[in-house]
Amino acid sequence: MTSIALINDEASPHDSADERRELFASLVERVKRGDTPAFEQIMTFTERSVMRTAWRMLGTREDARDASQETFLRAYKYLHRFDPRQDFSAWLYRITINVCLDIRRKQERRNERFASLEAGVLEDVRHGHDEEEAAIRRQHEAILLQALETLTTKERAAIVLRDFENLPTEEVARILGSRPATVRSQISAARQKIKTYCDCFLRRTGRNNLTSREGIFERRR
Amino acid sequence: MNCKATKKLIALYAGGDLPARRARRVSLHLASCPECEKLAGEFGASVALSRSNAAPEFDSNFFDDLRSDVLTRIAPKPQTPFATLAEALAPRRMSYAYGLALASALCVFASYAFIKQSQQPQDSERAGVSALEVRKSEKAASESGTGLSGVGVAQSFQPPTAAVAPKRIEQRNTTAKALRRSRSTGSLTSDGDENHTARQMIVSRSLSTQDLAEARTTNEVTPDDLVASGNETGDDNAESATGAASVESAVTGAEMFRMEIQTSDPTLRIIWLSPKTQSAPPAKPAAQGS
Repeated sequence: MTSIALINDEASPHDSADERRELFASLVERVKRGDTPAFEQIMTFTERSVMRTAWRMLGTREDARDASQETFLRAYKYLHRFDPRQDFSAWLYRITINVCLDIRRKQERRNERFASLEAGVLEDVRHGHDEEEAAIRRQHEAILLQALETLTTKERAAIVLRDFENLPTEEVARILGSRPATVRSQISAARQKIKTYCDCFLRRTGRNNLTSREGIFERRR
Repeated sequence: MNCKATKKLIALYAGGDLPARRARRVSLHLASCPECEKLAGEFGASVALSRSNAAPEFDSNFFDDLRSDVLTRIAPKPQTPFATLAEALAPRRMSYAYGLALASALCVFASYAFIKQSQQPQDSERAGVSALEVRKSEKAASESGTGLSGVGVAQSFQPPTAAVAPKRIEQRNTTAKALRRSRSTGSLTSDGDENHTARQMIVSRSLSTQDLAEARTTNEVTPDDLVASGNETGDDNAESATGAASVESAVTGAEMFRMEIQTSDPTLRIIWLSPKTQSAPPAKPAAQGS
C-alpha cells in the first residue's frame, strides 16, 4: 500500500512512504500508551493537509478550523481502533472528510451554506507584479470555491481528494469507501461542472480565459 | 471512437484517469478531430487550475492555536469525586441502562397488577362477595339452614327504594348439563364448546320475592327457573338454556339476603335475593347428585 503524502512537507523530514508509515505507527503506539506530546507531533505533521482539505470542503476559514479541530479530537478518541498496518494518512483523510460532511449537513439544515462562502475575494486586479499575481491567485481560489459549491457532496469530496490533494483514484475510492469506477464517475461529473461554471464566469466577465499570465484555461498545445 | 464517446471520457482523459488503452483511443480521435481536441484542451486547463491552486496559507500562530485547543480538550481533567464515580460507572452504562429498562418494565407490570387487583374487589363488592366471602357465607348459610349449595349468602342487602327494574339475565350458551355439573361443584363452568354462541335474554318480568322464595324452597337453581322467572317466552329447551345468570337489580321491600353464584366465566354471575327476615324452610342441598 502506498502511503499518502498527507504529511506536512515542511514539518516532516521523512520522504519515503515506508518511513512515513513507520513514523506514524510508532507515534500512534506512543499515544496509545498515553504520550500526549506524540499526538502533538502527529498534529504538527498533518495539520496543514487537514486544514487544506477542510477548507476545500467547506469554503471558509472558520469552518475549516472547526473541522480540523474536530478531526484531531476524533482521531485521538478513536486512535485505539487504528490498525498500524493501515495508512495513517488515509485514515486521517477519511476522518477529515466525514467531519466536513457532518458540518455541511448541519449547515444545510440551517441553510447557512451560501451565506458563508468567502466570495469577497473577487476583487479587481491591482497594478504591480506581485500584487497582480496575488490578486489573480485569490480570484482563482474564489472561482474554484464557488465552482465547488455547485457539486454534490460526494462529487466534491472526490474532486477535492483527486485534483486538489492529488491522490490516486484508487486511494480516493478507499478513503471514501466507494468503488474506483464510482469515484471516476464522480470525478468526471465534477470536472464537467467546474468547467461549465468557469465558462459561465468567463462569459460574464467578457474574458477569453481566466488569466493569460498563467496560461490557465488557455488551450494547451 | 466517435465524438460522442470521446466527450464522455474527455474529462477523465484530461486528468489522466483513463486506463492506458482507452486513453490511447481517445488520443487517436483527438488527433483527427479539432473540435474534440479544443474541448480536451479546455478540460486540461481546468484540471490544471484545480491542481495548481493551493489553499490559502495559514500562519504558524493559527496552527499553534489549533494545536493548543485540541491538546487542552484531550488533556486529562483533574479528578473530582463525582468524575471518578462517573468514570467508574461509565463502562457499565449499558448494564445500568438495561437494569433501568427492566426496573421500568417491572414497575409497569406491578402497576398493572395493582390496578387489576384493586378492580377485582370493586367487582366483587358490586356483585356481592369475593370467592372467599362466598365460601364463608356458604358455610354460614348451611349452618343457618338457608344456604344453597353453590350459593353464598353474601351480605345483608338493603335494596333500593326504587321500583323493581326489569331484570336482565345474561344467558350464555352453557348447556343445562354443564349447568348441573357446575352447580354440584358450586360454580358454573362453560362446557367449552366453541359452537355455542353467547346469548342474552332480557327478562321483561320482575323477579318477585315470592319467585325467589319459591326458587329457594325448591332449592334447585335451574336454567328454566331463571328463564321462566324472568321471561315467559324463555327457551324451554334445556340444551339451549342459560348456564349462568345474573340479576343485577334489587327488589323492594324488606331487607334482603343476596346470594350469588360466580361462574368460572368472570362475565357470568348468578345473583339470588331473598328476604332476610323471612323464615324460609331449610333448603336442601342443591344439585346433589345432578
